[in-house]
Amino acid sequence: MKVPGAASLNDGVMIGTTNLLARQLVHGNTVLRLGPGNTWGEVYDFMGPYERAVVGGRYGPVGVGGLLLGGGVDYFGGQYGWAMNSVRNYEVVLANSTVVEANANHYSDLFWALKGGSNNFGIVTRFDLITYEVEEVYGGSTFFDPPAFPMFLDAVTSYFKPGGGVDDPQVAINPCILANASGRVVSSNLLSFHRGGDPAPWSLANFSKVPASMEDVALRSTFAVFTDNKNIDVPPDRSGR
Amino acid sequence: MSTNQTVSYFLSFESGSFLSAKHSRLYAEPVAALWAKNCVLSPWCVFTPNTTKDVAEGLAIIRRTNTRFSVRGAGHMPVNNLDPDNFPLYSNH
Repeated sequence: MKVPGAASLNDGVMIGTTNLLARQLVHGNTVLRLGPGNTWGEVYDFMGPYERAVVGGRYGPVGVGGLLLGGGVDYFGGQYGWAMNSVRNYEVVLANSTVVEANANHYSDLFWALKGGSNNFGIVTRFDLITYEVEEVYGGSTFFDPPAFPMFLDAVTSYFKPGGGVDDPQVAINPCILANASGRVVSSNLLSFHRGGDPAPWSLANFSKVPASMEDVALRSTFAVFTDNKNIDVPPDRSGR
Repeated sequence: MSTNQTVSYFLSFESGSFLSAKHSRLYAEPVAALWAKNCVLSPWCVFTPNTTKDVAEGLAIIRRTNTRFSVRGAGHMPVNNLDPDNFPLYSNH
């Protein structure tokens, strides 16, 4: 997705919030205060020892600020929706340089607007996220060779049909199909996730039947172990995204 | 001094936060680390505040001098902007 000019400008000042790196658990670890300069990989590493998770990005290199302000696709969408739904307070610098806390009771209109309002209403300098108790999770990456592509596509279709795996609120998938410049499909893979200790979730059963060329799908003792898994197909940098 | 120099001077002088000028490494990385070359623009400087207070003070200088600005966070696809000249954007480098 190419957006010429996005994220910078000519003839002006670029403000980078990359040094706003707060990470602090408060209120008995039920709330995580986060600066917008963090990446989700850093956040999940930080949360690892606490057996709690926040609803955030699926890929470690992605930053906190843009994902939470834009909405945020996450692993817990079936239960909690967009990542922005779990923000309970924003610290915001307004255009006139006043610093306010926006939440359900104060600046509630701004609180509402920031849920998907991106960067149009102020500079958010801290997000307060609800944390959730998350113990075991199941999931990982599966890779498919060209002969298996039709079966893989059938499994994706079944998943999204009414009554399919998507009806399971604890499941999330990211099916990927990569084509080369001539349009020929060259590889495909599935990132799958299921919250809880079930070693064979029904919602992912169709995918298990597709012959895989490589598979690393298993129960993980914590959410941090899952997100730390180096076999998860994470783009190494942003150049290809 | 030009407006460019004046704003950069006050941002670096009045706040304790780091300001990187053109041609420095810390300038080049966030400016260039975008999806495609035609996404790369040339801001006067990159202001990376360390505290909320620095954000507020920097913004006051920017407003007083009627300077255009953008905001970036820690990274994603660059997809949101207001208009090409003035778009606070949380997508970091």
